[in-house]
Amino acid sequence: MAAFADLHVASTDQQVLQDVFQTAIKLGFDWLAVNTFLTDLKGKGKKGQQQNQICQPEPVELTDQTRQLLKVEGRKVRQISRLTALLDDTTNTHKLVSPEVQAFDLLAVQPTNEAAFKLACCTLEVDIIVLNMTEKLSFYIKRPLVNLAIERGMHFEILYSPAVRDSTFRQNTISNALQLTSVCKGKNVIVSSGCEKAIELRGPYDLSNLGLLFGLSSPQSKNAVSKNCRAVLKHAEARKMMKSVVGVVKSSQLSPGDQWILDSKRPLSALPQTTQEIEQPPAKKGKT
Amino acid sequence: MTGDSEKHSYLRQVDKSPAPYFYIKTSLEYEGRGLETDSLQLKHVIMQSMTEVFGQVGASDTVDVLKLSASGEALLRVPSRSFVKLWGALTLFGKYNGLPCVFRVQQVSSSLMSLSCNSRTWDIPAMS
Repeated sequence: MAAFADLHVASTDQQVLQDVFQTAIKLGFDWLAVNTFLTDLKGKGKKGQQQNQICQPEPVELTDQTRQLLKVEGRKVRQISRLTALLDDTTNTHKLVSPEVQAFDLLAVQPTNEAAFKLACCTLEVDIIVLNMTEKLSFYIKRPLVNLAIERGMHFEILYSPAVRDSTFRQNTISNALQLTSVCKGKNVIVSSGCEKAIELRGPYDLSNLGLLFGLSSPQSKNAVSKNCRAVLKHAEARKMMKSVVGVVKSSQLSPGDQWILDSKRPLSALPQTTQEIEQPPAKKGKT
Repeated sequence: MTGDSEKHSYLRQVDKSPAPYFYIKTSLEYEGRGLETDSLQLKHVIMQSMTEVFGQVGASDTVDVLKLSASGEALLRVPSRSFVKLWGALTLFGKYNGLPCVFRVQQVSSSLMSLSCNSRTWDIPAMS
């Protein structure tokens, strides 16, 4: 089974993030994405106006206490950087392919009106579509658009931490989530926290139960915190490779974990020492 | 049965009907502080969380606090029809008297016996 993931941790100062990471790891999450929120996609304005700066993602240093946790459990935690851009209008979307935006691992957009939503579903090369579920949606979520987005491998995100914070937000989140899941039939939905504090995080099993209240079936809601998140990450990986089935990596850049691939491709005579050991017993000689 | 095996015989019961109750092992944590709850207050907090999310009709099923240990772990018993509702309400609960707090659910089960140990928090002595 795929590992549990939380693909939206709001980017705050380092100390809070360390606290959030420790809690998340304790709760059992293996993939954590730190989100940078971009309120405007505008590039350089007319002379004199300042340019919207995008700060590059920074890794979160884990505290010694957190590392101790990982050592005991023998788990690997991966950090992912993510950018969410507010999509007010359909202009300026060319900024999404600029190198400073592409430096992030995951790309998400938050459309606020129907035209932007249509654009995000049909043409934009992003991984996640977020809708602001704390307010009443200003447009209907249309099934053909959602189906198209699903076909293109994009996922819809439900954030639960506003629902923990405030009761009005909770009401709106649940009603919007129900609306979304009825339109997309529970497919391609991910549930993530969007938390700013560690206290707003909930465990993965809590979330797979919470998904039932959002109108997902029980396997769907379990996938919303595990399998679908993995699909999002794979989609992001594929997006960077353009249209391709096979990726090419230089053998010098292969990670140490994948070195065995090289060894298996070499002729047996080129392998050091170990071949001799194999050839010594007569019974194995025929096999090698 | 011979006399010898009779000494060690046990009763095997298989119940195929739906489980009448579900059991939840949880603890209430406040932000930055330890837990200071007695069982009455805990019950009040739980009922409040249920009414907040589901209203009076949704919270009409009784939730029993079977046990509250000194470490703050509470054992709850709930009729299985409102199990999902209770767990969801506990998950969405975030504030009590203005204080941020959270229910950390350790284990859930349809039988009380299986809450006696938890394989997820099992510490392998050789590795630590």
